[in-house]
Amino acid sequence: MDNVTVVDHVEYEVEDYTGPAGTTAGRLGVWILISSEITIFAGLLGSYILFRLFHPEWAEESSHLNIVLGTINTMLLLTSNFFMMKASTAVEQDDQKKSAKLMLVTVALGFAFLVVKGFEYAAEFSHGEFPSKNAFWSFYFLLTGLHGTHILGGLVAITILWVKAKKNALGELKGRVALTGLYWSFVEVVWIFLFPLLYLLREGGAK
Amino acid sequence: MSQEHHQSFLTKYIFATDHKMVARQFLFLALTMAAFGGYYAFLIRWELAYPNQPAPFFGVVTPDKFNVIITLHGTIMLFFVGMPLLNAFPSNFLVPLMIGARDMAFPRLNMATFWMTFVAAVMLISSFFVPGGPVAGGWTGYAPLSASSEYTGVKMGMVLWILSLALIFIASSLGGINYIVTVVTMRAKGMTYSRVPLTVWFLLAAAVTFFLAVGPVLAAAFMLLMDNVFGTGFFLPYKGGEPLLWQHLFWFFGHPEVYVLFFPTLGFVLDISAVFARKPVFGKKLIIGSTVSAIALSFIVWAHHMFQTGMNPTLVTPFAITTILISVPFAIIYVCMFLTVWGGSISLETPMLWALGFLATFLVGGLTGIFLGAAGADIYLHGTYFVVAHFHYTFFPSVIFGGFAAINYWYPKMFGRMLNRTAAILHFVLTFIFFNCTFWPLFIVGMGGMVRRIADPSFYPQYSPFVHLNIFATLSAMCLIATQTIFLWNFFYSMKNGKKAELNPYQANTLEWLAASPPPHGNWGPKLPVVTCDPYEYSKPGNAEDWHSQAPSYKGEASHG
Repeated sequence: MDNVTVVDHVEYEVEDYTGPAGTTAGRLGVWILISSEITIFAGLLGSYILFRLFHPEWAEESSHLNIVLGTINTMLLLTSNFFMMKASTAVEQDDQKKSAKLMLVTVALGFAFLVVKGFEYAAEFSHGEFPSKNAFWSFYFLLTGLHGTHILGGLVAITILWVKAKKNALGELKGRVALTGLYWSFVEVVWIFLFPLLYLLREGGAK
Repeated sequence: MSQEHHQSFLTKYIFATDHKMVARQFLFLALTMAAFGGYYAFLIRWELAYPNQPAPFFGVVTPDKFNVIITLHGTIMLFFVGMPLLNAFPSNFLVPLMIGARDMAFPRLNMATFWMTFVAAVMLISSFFVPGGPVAGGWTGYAPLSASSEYTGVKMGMVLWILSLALIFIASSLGGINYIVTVVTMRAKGMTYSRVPLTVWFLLAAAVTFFLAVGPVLAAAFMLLMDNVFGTGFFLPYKGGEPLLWQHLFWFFGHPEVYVLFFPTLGFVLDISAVFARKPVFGKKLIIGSTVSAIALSFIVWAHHMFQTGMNPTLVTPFAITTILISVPFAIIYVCMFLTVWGGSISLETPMLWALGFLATFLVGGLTGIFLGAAGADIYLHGTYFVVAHFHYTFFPSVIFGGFAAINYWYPKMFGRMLNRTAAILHFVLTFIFFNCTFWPLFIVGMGGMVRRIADPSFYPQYSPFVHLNIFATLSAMCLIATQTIFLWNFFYSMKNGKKAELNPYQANTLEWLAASPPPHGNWGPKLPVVTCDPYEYSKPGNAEDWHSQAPSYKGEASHG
């Protein structure tokens, strides 16, 4: 965004703004992005649930997943989200240094999530559980892989903000901390659906 | 906008963030891709009329090449001509100008959406040069043909097709977010929602429909990619998968998608009708309400594309009912369109000709849709050329007639010059005639039972009565394509040599006609326009003139200093 445009936006919001009160462009954009993402995961999870209903034998495959590691990962993600919220509050209070520390913890926890996931994948591969083994594993790797990609994207965004905040140089990007936090919460909520549906659902199907 | 900014060639023309330049990039991309799509259309028609004779510049269209060509024709025309021409181009050019903003809410995101679309287009075309050639399973990519290279021998081409579509879907979705946010947060002072012109309303409707619908097909694209790359079997029965799942996910997106390619044209036609009939749009609120209900219904009609799959008849009935039901809001909008023109003082300028041409031709497409929504008739007609004729009678009016209406109408604002009127009228008349001559015979051929998706009709003796109709359709299609050279000449010649356009050549009310032609970077003078009335105050009793600008106090560039 070049300087000219930024100036226009400021001028615009002060003088001529007629939209619903309190809705900034960024926040609205992220909410629409999230609702669009929801339909992607809804398509995948909907397909998975339909398959699952007609394949009671997937319970057996599901029992090969490591619930302990899954639970640890759930905790890691929930905690990282807590720290991200704190970071966003710190920015609102103009304490960029504090927010940088909190974002560092967020990134560390998110990274730990990916490492644990990596160990899980490695163990599954060593048991011959590849995406091509059967449809359960296809869904498992697609869902967790797509979710992992979202985690990775979130980590990159938070790392960029962390580097800026550390130097007390967030400036124009201040608002982005809360927006990234919003996205980060969404990624966590997706996991809250994936974890029970993939790991914990070990009963038979519809028949 | 008092600052002077020196933009290099690279930032002005290539990595442009100005909404008007991005709009032009999308327009040129759409026109370039239309040349590919049009050439493939010619090859398809050639093979159907003159089977096994070498086509000009191509050679014999063998059945395997025929499959490639119909696939790419569909993919290109819908996603790389329709969406850039009807969504990205007008949304970029018109949304900020019509709501009185200086640019999009996210200009850099805007630039990114164009380059993602561009890369997607390059990926699709480049699939010609990979081993195995391009995808040949139809534009709908039905599994299991699309899910395993064992069936078609196409692997790289399939992967490129999936990635290309996923990329343009993501790009269009992000673009849509930008348009929506811009309309919600950046309207000029006084531009309440009820004063937003219908073009913007419908572009917004298209963006909302698209981002709500695209998720499941993206999910399906990821699954299909895994089937092709990692050997999974989401859509392969022998690996425990379900081919029909692809059709469900695809059409859940596919049906709203046809409205994405239709809504913008409704907006153009309504706005153009009001200007050239000098009348307010009839039933604006009724139109918006109908559109909302059409969007809602469009998400529960998708299985009417699948009546032939042997689905449970209990499920067929509700989908047939919703399909017939969805014609109600569209019938309301259609009546409003007629009543907008009705009794007006019509001037037959070229944009109005395209708008009226749309009304006349789309009606045929809409009415034949009712045949196909009724499951009993559909099961007979679905595999035939009747469906081909039907969807060309819907897409061609909305994408081509609507697209040309928009280009003709806003050309003076885009390039600051007028198109040559004689050439533009000739282009319309010939396109109108040859379009109908091309596709009307296909209804007859289809009713007669000629099956679509086959390369060589001469192989089937039962189709011999249709030889003459097929040749007639092909000759008309060739004339239709040749006619487009008139447009191309006019478009490029007038850009340099056309008559200089006035600020507001049609005496229209909407805001874009207050900006300079072409509008400068930042669109407006130092002050933004302040909107005081509805966009459709034409021929209002008591007004001295038969039009009334939405922002009469706007001084424009003159006060720039």
